[in-house]
Amino acid sequence: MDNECQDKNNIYEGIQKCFGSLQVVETVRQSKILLVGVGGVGSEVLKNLAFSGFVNIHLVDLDTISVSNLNRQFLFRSEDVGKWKAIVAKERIEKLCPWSQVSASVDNIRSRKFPLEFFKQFVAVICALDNHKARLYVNEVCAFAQIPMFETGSTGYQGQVIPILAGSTECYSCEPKPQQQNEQIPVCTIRHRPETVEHCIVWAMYLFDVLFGNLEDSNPLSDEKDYKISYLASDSVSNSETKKTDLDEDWENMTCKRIFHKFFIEDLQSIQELKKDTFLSLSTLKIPSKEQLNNCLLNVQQKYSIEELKKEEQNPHQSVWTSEKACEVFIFCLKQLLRKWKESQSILMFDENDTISLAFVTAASTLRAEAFGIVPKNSFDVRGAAGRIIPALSTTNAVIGGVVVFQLLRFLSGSPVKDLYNARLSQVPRPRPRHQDEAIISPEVIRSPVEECIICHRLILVSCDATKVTVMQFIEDGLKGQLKLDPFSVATDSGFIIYEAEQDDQAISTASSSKIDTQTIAQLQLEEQPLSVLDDSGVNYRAWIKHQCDVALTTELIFRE
Amino acid sequence: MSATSAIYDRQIRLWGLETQSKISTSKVLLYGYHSGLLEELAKDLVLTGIGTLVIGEYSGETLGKPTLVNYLGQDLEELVKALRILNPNAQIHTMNSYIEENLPGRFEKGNDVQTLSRLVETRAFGIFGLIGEKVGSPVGLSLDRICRDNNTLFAYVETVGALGFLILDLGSNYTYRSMNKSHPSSKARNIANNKSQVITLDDSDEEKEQKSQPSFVENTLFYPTLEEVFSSILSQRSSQKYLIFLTFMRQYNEQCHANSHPDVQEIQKQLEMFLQLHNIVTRHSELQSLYNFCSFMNVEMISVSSCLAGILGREIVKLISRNEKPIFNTFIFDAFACTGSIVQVASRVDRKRSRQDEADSIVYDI
Repeated sequence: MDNECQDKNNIYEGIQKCFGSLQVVETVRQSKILLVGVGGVGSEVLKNLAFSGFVNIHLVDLDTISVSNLNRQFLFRSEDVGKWKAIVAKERIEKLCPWSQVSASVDNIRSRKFPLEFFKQFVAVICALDNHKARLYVNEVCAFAQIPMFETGSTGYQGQVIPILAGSTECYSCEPKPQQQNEQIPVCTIRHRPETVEHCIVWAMYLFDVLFGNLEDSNPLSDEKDYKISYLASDSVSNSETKKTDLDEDWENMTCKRIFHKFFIEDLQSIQELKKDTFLSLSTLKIPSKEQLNNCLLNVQQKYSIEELKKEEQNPHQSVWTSEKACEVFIFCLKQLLRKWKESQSILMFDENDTISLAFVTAASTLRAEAFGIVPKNSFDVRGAAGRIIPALSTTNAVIGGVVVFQLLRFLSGSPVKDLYNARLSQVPRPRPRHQDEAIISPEVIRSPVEECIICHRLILVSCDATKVTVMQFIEDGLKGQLKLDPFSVATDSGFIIYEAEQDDQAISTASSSKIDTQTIAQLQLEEQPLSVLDDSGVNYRAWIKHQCDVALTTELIFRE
Repeated sequence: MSATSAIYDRQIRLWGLETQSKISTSKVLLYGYHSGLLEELAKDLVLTGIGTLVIGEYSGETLGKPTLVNYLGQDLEELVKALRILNPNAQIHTMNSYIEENLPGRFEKGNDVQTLSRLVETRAFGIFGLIGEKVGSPVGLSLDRICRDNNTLFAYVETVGALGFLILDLGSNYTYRSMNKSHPSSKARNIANNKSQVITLDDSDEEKEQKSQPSFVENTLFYPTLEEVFSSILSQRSSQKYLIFLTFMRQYNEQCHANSHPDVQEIQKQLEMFLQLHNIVTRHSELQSLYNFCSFMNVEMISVSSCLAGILGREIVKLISRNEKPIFNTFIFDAFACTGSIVQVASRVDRKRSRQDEADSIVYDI
């Protein structure tokens, strides 16, 4: 107990001396902090918060611990693999720091379980997420709640910390971020003329989904549903019902043959035909022969094992597979997957951590790359590309976790958010203008919000009793009456249109829309989530309906100039 | 190997298997105050997969010991236990238990420096880290000398409130490889690959073989000793306020005899005398910063330690892999300014030599 007091005193003495006031110590002690994401950066942030004297910390994370986290997430151990990060982190930090009061939610931060009031109880939010979508969401909620958010990120040797207070500083959505890779590749590139090995890997993942997975319309190969395994299987069952084991093996071989023939011989041949018609591409495709396929079908079972493939996938220096090997591994994996499918009788999802799935995609991408004269990748690199694996280091996270918590302390000591810095950690030192030295951690002045940013300029906060107010009242009394807007459409982010202005000439009020109008906000579950509002003049707004029992409908623009 | 590959997957993707296996056989000795800084550094190294880590701390009652924030263990034994849980494969010992187990009989009782000196002389450790100078009786300069004499890479780290310092002495002949971007044959190769031009190369077959292998240049750096660094700070007119403060603080701590921590005004008065004594002229704004720094004396902030340890941790990986230029030779972190910068503090002769040798070093094509 003595030790505990000593530790606590040491912590507060540091803050008091660095910031030159006792007030800061009190503020730190009282402030509730929300930490979203307890991964690499999150673990470091949590530790730094607790040992900087923060007592009340709430964690939100929906992920479980995996083996590859253990090189940096020091709160987790190998026996924790599979457990919830938020729960384990809470337990561990409370052991290390007995006076802290950490609470944890295993949930998506975008869940409606976290209403605006939830966010408002915190002095600041630290965002230690790994994806764009969730970051955008937290950025938006913090803007609605008008609380500062400290956005962090780390990739390999690089990292950054960005303090944000919407309306006063540049926010996370001020600058549009690049979309995820896959969506940018045109369908015809994937189907007919891959240019890079990444295109081949994406194609191979789509192939996996065609055969075993959920065939979505967005899949560029969606017209190949005849080759869904469930379809191929029902095809053969109806034919005969003779001895079962023989049949299984025959069916496997036949299916492998059909699939290979279709996707690696027939399809390539037809692409070749297409190419002949155009003058540009003169190079011929390297198409596997039927003999090669038949050879592969024999004896692949003895030649490969899951253990061998697993060993290979962990070796970054393994050589790229020859087309012969790729062909054999493809058949081997296809057979394994067929069996797995038969046993479970349910769809299989591609998982880059599953050796067979990964080897399947590696083999398929290798064959395709070879055919198009592209240099293929080995299974280690395919795993990185297919799983969008981002390299991560404990040291980078330690730096980012340290910088962000110190910035938070500066904010609590009275510095406005716009007077803090955007911090950048770089791998190679960068020369500093007007200084004689180079920097690896460099401060950047925080800019003002971008003019066009909706989050920074056009947020509508609605407070009402969601169980009583109808959609009609929200539109008519709120948006039109109180804000004098002329809404053209209002919709949720999942695409549910709750209001559309009637066209003058075709005043059709469909039964469904009138039904929506008279329902309450709560009945349609519209409260506590961001809504898109498009004004008749073409201006976009974002709105948030905050539920409060028994209050009259009030609607306000948060940033009124 | 398979299980460990899975754990280190995210960093192997960055620095490769070769570096990872070098890390797993590396031996590092850390010594100094059992501070948050020590724990942070040890934690980062152990997570990264270091082979052997031995940790020692200043013995006896240390006068004027700073206010420290450690969290993994109350004492070194506890810390070692906690670190072993983080990585059961690593060899982690306190200095005392390491000596008992590995070098029985060879050590008589001596003072800290004598013990360390014998340990460094075994040349078992590639890297030595000094975590905070000992208040009252500094050991940094002598330990640096011992490390230099025994080809042991030396790092000195110190945090003072919101400031962090890291000074490396990697000896008078530190070599590392770096990718050669302007290598003439690699240029020719690029053009040949682009097929935009037909080039006749004498050894075209060899060229083809090397296609996937990037070429490396061997570089050499000449580090000044810790002593040279400190003497040059005071002799140079343009020394940064941070370095002036570090030198002052070291001197102040050396003379510290009081058991209790003095108040800021007293330290500031001492600072004024120090500046006068060494004829250091500062601008008004710099003087103001120096006064502010005085209130940082003797306290540790975990966020600053986390940062500084992260930077040193990544330098240590560089020292192990020898594939990148390490910090040459001083790193300064200011948490308020949110800046971590690298400055070259050295005697003029050394600096000149190192630049020249960097330019003239022999090119190896691997």
